[in-house]
Amino acid sequence: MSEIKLLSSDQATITVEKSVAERSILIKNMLEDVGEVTEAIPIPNVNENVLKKVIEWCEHHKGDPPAQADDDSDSRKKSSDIDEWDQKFMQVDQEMLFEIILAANYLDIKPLLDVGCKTVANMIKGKSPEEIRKTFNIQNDFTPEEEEQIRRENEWAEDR
Amino acid sequence: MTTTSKLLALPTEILISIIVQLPTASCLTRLAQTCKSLHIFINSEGWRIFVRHHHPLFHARVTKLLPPGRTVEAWRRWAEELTVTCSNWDNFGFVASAMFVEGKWRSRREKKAEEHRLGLRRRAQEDACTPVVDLWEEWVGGEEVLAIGAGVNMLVRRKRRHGKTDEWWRYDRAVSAGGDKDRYVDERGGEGIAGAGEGEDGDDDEERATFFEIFVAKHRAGYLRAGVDNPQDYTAVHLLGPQGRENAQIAVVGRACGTLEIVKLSTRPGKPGHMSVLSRYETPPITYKSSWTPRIGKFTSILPYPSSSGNQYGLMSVGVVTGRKSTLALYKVRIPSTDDFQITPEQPVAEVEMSSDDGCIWSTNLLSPEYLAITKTDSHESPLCVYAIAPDGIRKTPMRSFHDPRELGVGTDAMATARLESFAGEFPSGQVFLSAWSGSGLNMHDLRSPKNTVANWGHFVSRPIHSLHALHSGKFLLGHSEACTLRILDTRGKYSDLEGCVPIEAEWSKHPYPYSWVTNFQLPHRSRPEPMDPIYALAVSPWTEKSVYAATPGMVWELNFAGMVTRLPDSVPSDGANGWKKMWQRSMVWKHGANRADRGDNDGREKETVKPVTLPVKAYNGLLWGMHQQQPPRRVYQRYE
Repeated sequence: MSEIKLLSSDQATITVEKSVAERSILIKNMLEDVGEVTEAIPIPNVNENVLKKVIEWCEHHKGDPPAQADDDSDSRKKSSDIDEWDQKFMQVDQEMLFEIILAANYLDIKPLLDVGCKTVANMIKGKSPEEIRKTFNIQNDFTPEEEEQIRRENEWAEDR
Repeated sequence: MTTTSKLLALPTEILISIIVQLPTASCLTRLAQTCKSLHIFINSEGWRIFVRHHHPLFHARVTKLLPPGRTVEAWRRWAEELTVTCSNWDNFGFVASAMFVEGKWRSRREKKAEEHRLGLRRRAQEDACTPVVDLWEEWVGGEEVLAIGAGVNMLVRRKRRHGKTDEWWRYDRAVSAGGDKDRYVDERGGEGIAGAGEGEDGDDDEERATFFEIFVAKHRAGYLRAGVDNPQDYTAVHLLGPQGRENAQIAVVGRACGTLEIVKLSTRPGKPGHMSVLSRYETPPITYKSSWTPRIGKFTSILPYPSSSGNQYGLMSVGVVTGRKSTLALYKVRIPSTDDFQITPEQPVAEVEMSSDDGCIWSTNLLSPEYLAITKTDSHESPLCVYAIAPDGIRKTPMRSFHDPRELGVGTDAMATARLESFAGEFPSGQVFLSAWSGSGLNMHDLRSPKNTVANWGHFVSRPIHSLHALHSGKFLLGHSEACTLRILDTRGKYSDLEGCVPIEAEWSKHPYPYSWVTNFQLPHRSRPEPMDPIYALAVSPWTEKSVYAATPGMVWELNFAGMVTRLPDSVPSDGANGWKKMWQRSMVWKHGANRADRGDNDGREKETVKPVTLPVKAYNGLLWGMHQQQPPRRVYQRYE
């Protein structure tokens, strides 16, 4: 089993199995282009902690069938809930969650990105605008009149 | 609180992936209410994503049409419309109104009283006209065009979204209509002499001069007198859409004499309706004069498909019975670009004569540009068969034939077929279709499956099923033959696993009707609907499915599923069905209040207009005539002006 090294943005080297690292389409394509590499592959956008977390996810999911090339919206809709392990895995602080999502996006790991987005969507689901603001630390920059107007034009969607 | 939110710092594509995961529209609107940047982003892009994800078919159809750079506001509007309509369909919530297309009366009782006063004999139930309806939506539901052919009248209504008023036009006979079929005129002329001292011709002129004042009693009396056995001129109407930038609609109409014409119906605001024939189809000659001759137009099927050559609209199939022989003809539908009166009959692309020993052709239905389904009456071998359409015509022998499994060997008629549009991308268009049988069987067929039927529904008490209409969402409507009963069913509970063409047996036995409701139409001050009134035809908005029009004798019912913001009542009565029944009974006595008040003023503005009398009947939904499954409506969303 061949192993490769990854170099995070804060210059930490992490060794992973090649098959695990290839969950990332970015690394997979890179390895296909370059062939055998002995030195660490730099991942400039991801720090050590996040990279470790991502690798943890990849290791757990290495047995999964590979994601289809044409990932249509339908197949994603059907798997609307997150499995238990992923739920636990995503129980991190918000900063980490967004870091994981960004890393998954950068490394092109579609299933992880989906899990992350679903987690964020679940945090939005069923909350009032004020609660959403609190959750995500969003500054309310509407005037009360604007807020009222927007509330009115969105009235149709209540409980639908 | 000076640090910016991590959520707002996310790149757009991730924000989009998050929006895709939001299950409901309310999540999205609440997110949009949090701050300006999210509000702007969701209004510009979020709603498009929402529609793409929740209504993929609609999104695909719209993006095909949209010129690049179309305004962003529209997606929010469409998202709203689709969400509200969808939720109303799921909750059986709609507002119904009845249009008397025959006259100005609010109720049959009034009409009969008027007839009595005018010394007319009371017409039997069967004599009421059989309206034909078709619906067209312009600008993806922005404007709705309704065409009603009722007896000798052709009416067109244009209704804008959020428009306060809707405009009506009525059309006299087409300008260049052939003289071969003006039975109406002859009889009317003959009867006119015996009229009650009114010059019929003078009437006509006056009618043209004051075009909106047509349904005056005088005219009406003349019309009724003429209609000895009720002239039924229009046998079909298919709207093909507007003509260029002109205020005109193009339609294919079938006439009682057996002609099929493309007509232009002008709809200039404030101007009288004007109908001109643009072209005519060469149909096989009809020698078989029977009451069923009008079928020619009725069961033609027009299938639009996009084509690069400008004015081509699609294909049309026609089945004609001549004597013992049946002929199936296929035409190319072209919308003439100019309206000079060089009428050259359109020749059929292909004609197939069918053997006379196995029943007569009853209806034709184009499933797709490749498949054509026909149904036959009194057929033992192949009451329903599908022909393949090749570029050079129709294959002579059917590629598949189907029968009703419960009536094998008996001479059966397949009454109507409806193709099922693909919904949620699951069914390739045209391969899956529904059929209704004279024995009241209702089956679903799949051309890819070797099975005769892939799903069937129980026998219904009311038979035959008169009309059948499939929606994109997988629901379909059945028009029964009794008591103006409309049934709505869903195919998805039965047949959604396409891989093995296997119906979901387990689900099926558990819930025989997973989504099923029945309603029937009755007027507010009537205790029950006419027992033998069938629903002849159904038309549904092609894009948004927000309105349904059902043609019943002498009337067209409009069911509006696009209820808007405000809604009543807030809570479902706790005692279930009974509570709802009470509520309907209360709503039965609902009066057309605003208009009553106007009439009371009597400021000289009291006018009869072209507009058929419309009775909005509020809270008039899911009237529990359920014979199979009685479920109370869960919640009703209605618009209150």
